[in-house]
Amino acid sequence: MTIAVHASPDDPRLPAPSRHGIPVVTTVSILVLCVIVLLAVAAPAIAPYDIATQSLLSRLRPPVFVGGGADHLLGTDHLGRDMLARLLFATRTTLLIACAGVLVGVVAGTLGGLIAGTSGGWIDQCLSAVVDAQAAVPTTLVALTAVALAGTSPLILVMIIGFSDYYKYARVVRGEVAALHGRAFIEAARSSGASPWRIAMRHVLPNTLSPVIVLASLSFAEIVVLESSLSFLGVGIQPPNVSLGSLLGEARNYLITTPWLAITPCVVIVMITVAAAMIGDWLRASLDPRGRA
Amino acid sequence: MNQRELLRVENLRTYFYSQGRTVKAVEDVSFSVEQRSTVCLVGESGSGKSATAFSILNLIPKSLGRIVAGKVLFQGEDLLQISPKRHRALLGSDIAMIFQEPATALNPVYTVGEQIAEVLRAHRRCDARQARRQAKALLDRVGIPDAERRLDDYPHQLSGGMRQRAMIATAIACRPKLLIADEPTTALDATVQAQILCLLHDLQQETGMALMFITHDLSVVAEIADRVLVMYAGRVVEEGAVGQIFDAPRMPYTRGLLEARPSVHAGVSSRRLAAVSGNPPDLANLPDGCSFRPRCGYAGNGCDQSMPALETINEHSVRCFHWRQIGAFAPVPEAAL
Repeated sequence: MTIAVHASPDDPRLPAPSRHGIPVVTTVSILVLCVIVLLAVAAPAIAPYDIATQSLLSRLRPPVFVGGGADHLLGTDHLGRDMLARLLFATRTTLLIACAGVLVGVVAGTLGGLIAGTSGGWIDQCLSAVVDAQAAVPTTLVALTAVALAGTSPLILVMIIGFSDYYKYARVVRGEVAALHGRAFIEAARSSGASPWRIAMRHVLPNTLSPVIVLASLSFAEIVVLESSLSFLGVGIQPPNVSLGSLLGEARNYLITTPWLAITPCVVIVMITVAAAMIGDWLRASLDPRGRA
Repeated sequence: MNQRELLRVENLRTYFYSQGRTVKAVEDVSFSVEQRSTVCLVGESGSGKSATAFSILNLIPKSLGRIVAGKVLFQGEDLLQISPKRHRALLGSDIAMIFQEPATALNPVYTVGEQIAEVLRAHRRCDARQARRQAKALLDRVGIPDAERRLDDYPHQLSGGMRQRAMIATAIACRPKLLIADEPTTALDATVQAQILCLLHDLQQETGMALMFITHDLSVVAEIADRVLVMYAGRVVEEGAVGQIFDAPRMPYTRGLLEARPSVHAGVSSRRLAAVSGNPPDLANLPDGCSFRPRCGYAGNGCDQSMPALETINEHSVRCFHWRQIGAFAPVPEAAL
């Protein structure tokens, strides 16, 4: 083991460090994610067909790489709708919902954790109890209940996703706030006449952000999967809109005969989640003060 | 009231509560600080020095303890009674504080310049550019070379001495009338310590601020103090001008502290240091009578009966029943000073 530790930096067996200290895997992940995001953003402009235009005469065409025609690069689904267009829009929807969901979770969780950690006492106990109770309830159950009560809409989906996630941030931020409380620079801020609110927002909050950023990037991958699962179950995005999960749900019935219908959205989901997780891992390593050279 | 009096602390009591016990960290402490003067608070760890400082600023965390009695009059205003808004306006502008660990007393996520500017902008009306210019002038003043560039440095990019200088710059940014320094040189090495003391002294000459200096380092006290308060177990046990304390200490504890200092003077360098035997008392469970009695070599009649009162003669106060007799013993060797 020690041999590897003491290997010299120019040892040819070691991967060459990239110029900016960013590992190759991370660079690739960032590139992949950027391309996917660009395609999703540009979907209305580059989609070759409308996502809802049906053509029953040309249904279940195979993609071009399994012998299909060039007019439908990724083939067509069971109603003859162009899969490439649907995939582009589905990616767009999924990314949008996931981003909004993460944002809701981060804002709600950070604010909750900050309030709990700053005020302490019974406020802290109440908020912590709510967070702990929430963590014990399965998200799918919450989602089904919410949909049963309020119907389906993208907004409700975002809320469900955000509130399935916020407790992580609340816990982390509350812990960070508690740890920061005895720190001398907080005392110093108080001794220069800063109000409690100012201290919480300007001095405590920025110091809790790096674990929150890491957590958000790591849970982004989970949230993409969560959105897909909910849409797959039919409680997420509703037709005529499409998301990666609802594409999979539709493809389920044709898994034996035309597996590419399921494979293409799966590949996109895997690419997004793996890239996001890789970036999150790298962020964790580089924002962690102990890991810094 | 004395015309030059800036701060007057009267019968201050601060208790901390933990696990059902009451820790009497500050017990009936009274003293005053005159303009332009330097008052040193001396004592062992846990003697109530820092608790006194935090009580003066009314910054005792409510979750830990409370100021149960007393007044802290700053220019006639009781800091313990004024509104939170007025209190925040005074803190950082008229009264400022510097801390023991400059590494942790600066916020790691802001540059030095931003932190100085924040204090300026909170207390003085000025825009970002003026604040930056003043911050640069302050860094220049506290002796940080290449101030323009250092403004944009984060605290971790500075050395310990530089950080303490930056901390001092934020503290003096609004020209406070009173600067409370809680062991500001303890975490620094000896040469840097001397530089910081010089800097504080120069700043005091220049701005006329009063300095309340908390330390356990008697050589620092000898260097800078006008008046000295010796604290033991939350109480002031001796107070006097620096010459009185060092030349004619009355309280056995003060004598013990003075004798416990190393000396480089020929002839005495080979002697063993005289430690004050025993440990500081449990502040939640003080002994009957004089708190210092269990460790005192002069303890005798009456010491276990009641706490001696603070007795003042020639502006030199002492809390001891037997100080007159003790005064007759051999004085602390001159060489040790």
